[in-house]
Amino acid sequence: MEKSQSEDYLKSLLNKNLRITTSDSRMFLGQFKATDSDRNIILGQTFEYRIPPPPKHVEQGAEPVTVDMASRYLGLVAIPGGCITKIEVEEFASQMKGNR
Amino acid sequence: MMHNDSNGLASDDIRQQMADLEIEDDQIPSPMAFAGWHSKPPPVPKLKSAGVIAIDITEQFINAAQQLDDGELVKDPFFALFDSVGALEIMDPKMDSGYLEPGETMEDEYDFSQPLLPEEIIGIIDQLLCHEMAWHMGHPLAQTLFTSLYVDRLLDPCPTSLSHLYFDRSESCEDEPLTLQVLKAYCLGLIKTCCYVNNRVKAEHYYEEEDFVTHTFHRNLLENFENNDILTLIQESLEQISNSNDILPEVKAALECRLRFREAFLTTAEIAESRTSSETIKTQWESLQALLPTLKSSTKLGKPVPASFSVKLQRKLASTVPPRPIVHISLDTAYDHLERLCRDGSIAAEVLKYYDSHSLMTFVFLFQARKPQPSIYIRTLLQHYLFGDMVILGTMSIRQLLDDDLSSTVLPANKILDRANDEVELPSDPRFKMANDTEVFRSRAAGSYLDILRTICQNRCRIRRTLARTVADFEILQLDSEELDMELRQYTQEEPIRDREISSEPIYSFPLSSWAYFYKLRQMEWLLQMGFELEIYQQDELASMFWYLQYLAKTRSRHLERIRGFNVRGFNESRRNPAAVGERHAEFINALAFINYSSLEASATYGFADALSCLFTVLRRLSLIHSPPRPYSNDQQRYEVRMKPFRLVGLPELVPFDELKRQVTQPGETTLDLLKYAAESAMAAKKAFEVMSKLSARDAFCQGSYDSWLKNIKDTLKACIFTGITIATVKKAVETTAKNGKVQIKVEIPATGKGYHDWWVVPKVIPVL
Repeated sequence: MEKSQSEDYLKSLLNKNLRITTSDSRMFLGQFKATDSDRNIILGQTFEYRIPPPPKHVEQGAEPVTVDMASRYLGLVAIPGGCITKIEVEEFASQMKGNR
Repeated sequence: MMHNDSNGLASDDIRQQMADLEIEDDQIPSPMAFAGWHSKPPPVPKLKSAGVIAIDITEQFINAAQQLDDGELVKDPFFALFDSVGALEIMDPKMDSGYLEPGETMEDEYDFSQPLLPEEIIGIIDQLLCHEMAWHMGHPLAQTLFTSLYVDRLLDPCPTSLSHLYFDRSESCEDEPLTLQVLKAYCLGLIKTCCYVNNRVKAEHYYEEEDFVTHTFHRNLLENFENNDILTLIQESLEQISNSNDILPEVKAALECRLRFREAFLTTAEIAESRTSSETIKTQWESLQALLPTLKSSTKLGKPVPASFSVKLQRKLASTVPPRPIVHISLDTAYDHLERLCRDGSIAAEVLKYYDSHSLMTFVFLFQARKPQPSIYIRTLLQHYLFGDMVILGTMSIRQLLDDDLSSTVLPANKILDRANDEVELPSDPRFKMANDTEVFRSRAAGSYLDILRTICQNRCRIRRTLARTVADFEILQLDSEELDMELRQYTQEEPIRDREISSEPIYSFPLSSWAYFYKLRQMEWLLQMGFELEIYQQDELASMFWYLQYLAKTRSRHLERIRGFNVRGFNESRRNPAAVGERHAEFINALAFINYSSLEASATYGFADALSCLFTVLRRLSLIHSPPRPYSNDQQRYEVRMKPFRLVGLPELVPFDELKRQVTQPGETTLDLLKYAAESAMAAKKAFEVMSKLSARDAFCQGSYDSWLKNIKDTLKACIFTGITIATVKKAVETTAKNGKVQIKVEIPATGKGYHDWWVVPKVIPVL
């Protein structure tokens, strides 16, 4: 990618909802506000999601249960680039069909 | 990474804030750690939704970001870099409350089904009491009560009914062990007590995070439950304990005593809110206090259960701050605080007995000056008694209080305050106009007057700072009232005093503005005196500050003379009128008594202040008081900053620096003359304080707080006597020292709380051997 293309690409993501997974397997969902060359990322209106601890006693052969991720509102956060393991962008399914 | 651009902005902002610190900071909410959390967060977005797809862009993003130059930023144009200062840095253990150390778990593995020994219940209850008191002292709930796993269990999720509330959720435990039932009843009572305390503090004027943290982190403190339901639960637990046979008698007694205490505390918190009878409130606090010795003596039976408290619980709370350590205070400290709470609470209720407006102000002033200052809960209760629902002390209108004050200072038995004026409906009637103008004045002055009381209810530092603002307010009030005074005298047909000796102009009484001026002077004096108490002044400033205090007190004394003149004239006129009734005379006599008292107090103050000012000047001359090096300012600049609150005041005019310097240093006087004068002033002040100390509560306008008033006067008298001794010691040392020789003494200035009276800094002179 050219530099200008890169900038355009990043700009196109601004204010979209990003889901950023960190090295301690938390995920942060918030509006993309800014980034820099070290991919430090600032998100606004951010929620933190965490995989809940495993249940203490799991009976053999029991039905798997779906547990919601525990969430917490944090607001504005800065995530250091070094601890980001995954970046996802949320798109509306309806709009994606048009694009592709 | 993104702070560069905001630096200029930030420092400007800080400079502005510094500039505003002295007078305007009250209205600007200070940045608070929990501030953002008072508004509800947005709803949680759903992670799984058919319409939204998450696409992995990790690689693209990383590649694109790598193309950026060092320091280059891609950002939303509406996102100011300054905002980013407030962003939480994820994975930073100091900021990120969700950050876990390697191996650390999010939740506590505490087994709520484990049976607890009765001794352990005592241990937990006593620990909870420590936490409760630590909260009263100003620590957040998150670091105190909310660290209890048992309390957390009861509050999260928010309970809907008390009957199905159990610590152990694993089974339907109808057979909850007795110990846990006791603990549950205690905890519910405790939380509900906190609910009362929190609501009371929040309803009044206080400083968040300075006096108290009212933040509950979106936990509901059993707001929706009736007191009676909780009290019933406590009663039931009490019965069950007494029926139980397998608890040791002394342990049983300790548990019962704790439940009784909680029952009493909860009831007190409820009753303390009512303003109907000071006796009921007093009795309630006293009976609570009576339970404390038994509580204390049985503490040793308790077995602590540290595992039932966890610092980690804070991660579950709506807070962006990472867990902070649990606040630990000792049980002794907790009991001390509780005991003081009971004592102060019962005294605060005495304010509900109204005698007169001046006694009321004396009461509030002396109550707040108690050492240590009453805790915030008691101070907000006092505010509630004073002004709750805009009804003074639960029974009086603001007008009543204000009219009381006006008639006992400047307007005794005056037609301006005649209630009958309100009945006149003819607009051209002077009485109609008088009623109108007085009402204009009342609506303007009531707020300012109540603000004085409200100010005195704040913490000591805030009292001083807020006085700077109320002084400015009274300055404007005084100017506004002058116009009203001039208008009113057309309707009252006031005859001016004509005295060629004083002035060629006719002299009018200007009652309303006189009243405002009087209170303005009082507040200016208090502002200076709070500065002594709070050790605001440097040692080399003390001479000027005491000089200023005597200047203000002298001004007040002269002003009181003026008011007295008009009151005496009115009294004489009234006496000539045979139709005048006894009640009118009583009003004159009362107002004159107040003027006399205030004059006496003013003369004692200026005598004492004058003596100290001279003494400090002498100590300066003898090089016994040193100035710290101040390379970045000069005396004049510092004086201007110090006197900033008085700069706005037109009368008395701020003394220009050069004038002040001349007055304070008195270069024309010899040191011995200065000491002679100081000794005379101190002696005069001492006599005045002695006279004061013999006054009755009624004559000293301290009804309802006579004992504290007398102690205050006696402490001042002691300070004054000690000043006389110091002056004599210095005089002797100066006399025995050969010309140009160094005096053989050194000076110590006692810190606040170490002298006889905090408002009177008296230097201690020690001979050098």
